[in-house]
Amino acid sequence: MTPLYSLLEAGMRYTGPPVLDAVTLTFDAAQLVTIIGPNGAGKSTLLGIMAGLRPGHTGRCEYRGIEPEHWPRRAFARKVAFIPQSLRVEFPFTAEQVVLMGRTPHCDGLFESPADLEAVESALAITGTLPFRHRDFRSLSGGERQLVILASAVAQQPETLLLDEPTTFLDLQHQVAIYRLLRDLSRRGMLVVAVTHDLNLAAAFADRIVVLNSGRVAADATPAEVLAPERILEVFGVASELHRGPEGRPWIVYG
Amino acid sequence: MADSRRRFWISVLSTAAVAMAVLCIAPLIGSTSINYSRALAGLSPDNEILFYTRLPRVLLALLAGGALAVAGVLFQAMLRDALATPYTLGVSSGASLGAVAAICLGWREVGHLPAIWLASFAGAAVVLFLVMGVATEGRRMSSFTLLLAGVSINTICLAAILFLQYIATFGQTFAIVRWLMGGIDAVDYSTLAWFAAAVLPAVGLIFLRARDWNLMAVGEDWAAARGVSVSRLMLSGYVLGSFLAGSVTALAGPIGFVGLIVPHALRLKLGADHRLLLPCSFFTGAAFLAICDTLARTVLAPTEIPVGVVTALLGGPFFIWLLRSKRRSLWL
Repeated sequence: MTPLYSLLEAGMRYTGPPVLDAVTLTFDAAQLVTIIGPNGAGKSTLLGIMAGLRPGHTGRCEYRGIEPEHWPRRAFARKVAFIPQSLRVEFPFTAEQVVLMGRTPHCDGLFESPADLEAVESALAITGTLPFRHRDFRSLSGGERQLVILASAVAQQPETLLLDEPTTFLDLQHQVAIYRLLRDLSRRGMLVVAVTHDLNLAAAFADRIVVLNSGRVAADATPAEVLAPERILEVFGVASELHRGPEGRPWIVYG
Repeated sequence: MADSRRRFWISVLSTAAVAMAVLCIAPLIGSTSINYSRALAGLSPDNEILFYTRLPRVLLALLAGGALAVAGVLFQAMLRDALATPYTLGVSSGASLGAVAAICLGWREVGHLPAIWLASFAGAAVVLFLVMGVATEGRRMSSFTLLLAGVSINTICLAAILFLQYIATFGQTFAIVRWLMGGIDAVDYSTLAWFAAAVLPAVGLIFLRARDWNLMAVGEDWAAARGVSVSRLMLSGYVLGSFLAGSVTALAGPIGFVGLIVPHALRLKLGADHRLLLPCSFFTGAAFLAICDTLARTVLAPTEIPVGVVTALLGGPFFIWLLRSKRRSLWL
């Protein structure tokens, strides 16, 4: 089976040293992959290139054999959903309207079709956002907002979901809720790629962790292999111990 | 949610009904009282007053108000800022500068099109590109920086207009001052037809992309990741927005605050969905400006005050209130 994404020496430079330097990776369906690394390692840039939002990269980044920029925009949006790091909304859109925006690549008319409404209903249900569907998006808490944004991506019914730090600034309950949801989506066949700073969340939920450091892939393997103390020290400059949590999942304690 | 379709028609038809009511009632109000039966029977002077002075004027106010409100909604979506309007961004003064330059240069027609119109459109487009250029450098800017950019451009355009006035001949100066005072005037029906033929298709084209404007009002990446071709949409916004603002300014002079008050009030009532917001803003803006113009020509009758004065007196305090509440919410 050919992978969904194949990146070959993909890189990005603006001025000065490259932000992302010759990254070679492939991603298959039905995986939850997290990308970790220090600030400025190029994580968001990598995700942006994969989402087709950073034109002008070097090397190759192909989704199903075609560069994201060369895909017809709407067709690509039916395949790949992208969730930005933060979303500041200026206008009084309701949560439901934000979710409905995920249907844009699927419908042509001015009004939503029954299929659109069905997708929105199920996205709201899956993410547990039904109780505040009619509330102003701006009045929601950080965690609720992130769930609504995730619901919008679910309503898009993509085969790949890219997320840039979906759980930053969220309380524990929402962090876990979101990663459970991502894991469920990947179990049902979706490729989920999430950038995160939380190594323990990555360890607990990811099938695979990619470590970026100074624009290069420093490691790419299962959580247990990747999160060795030597590597954490080398990449993040922090001493740590690796323990085994319940279910044999790795668990990091910083020293 | 066949609900959303029903909501759409209810909102659009009720705002349209308000605009229709204003169209029927406003021509009856004025320094001379007239009535429809006499006017329609062709009796003088009711007939002339209705069809040659009041009705064209009300129609112009309706079209101009609708166009300004839609341009406001459009600029607010493009810049993701509720304070963006043709007036606050300096687009209206850019259009004024264009028009004044055309008067000074003595241009009347360029290829059968009125020169003032074209010059206003060009002036509006240049300013819009400038402001957007400043605004989008570094991805995002606060509304205060945006407003400062608008204020600076206003000042520059005003200075340029003063300069042109200074070097103009006496006759031109009179024409300029008269034009700058703005206000809705009785126009002939062929001008009205031209104006409608310009404004209505532009409004329609903007409305057709209402769903895409919803996404754009949230964010550019947000829209792009959902299949909207952002650069094409923005280009259509530039062209149609400056076209609307320029057309209105050419005929009615710089009129402020319609594009601010109307969209804001409607958002409180209807929410942010541009499918509702755009058509309802058109009709509400139309009714609002026609009412303001009726006030402008009746409050101190027989003296008429420019309609821009009325909208500014209503809109200025509202703008300050909006700015204050916005600042509070930013600090929270």
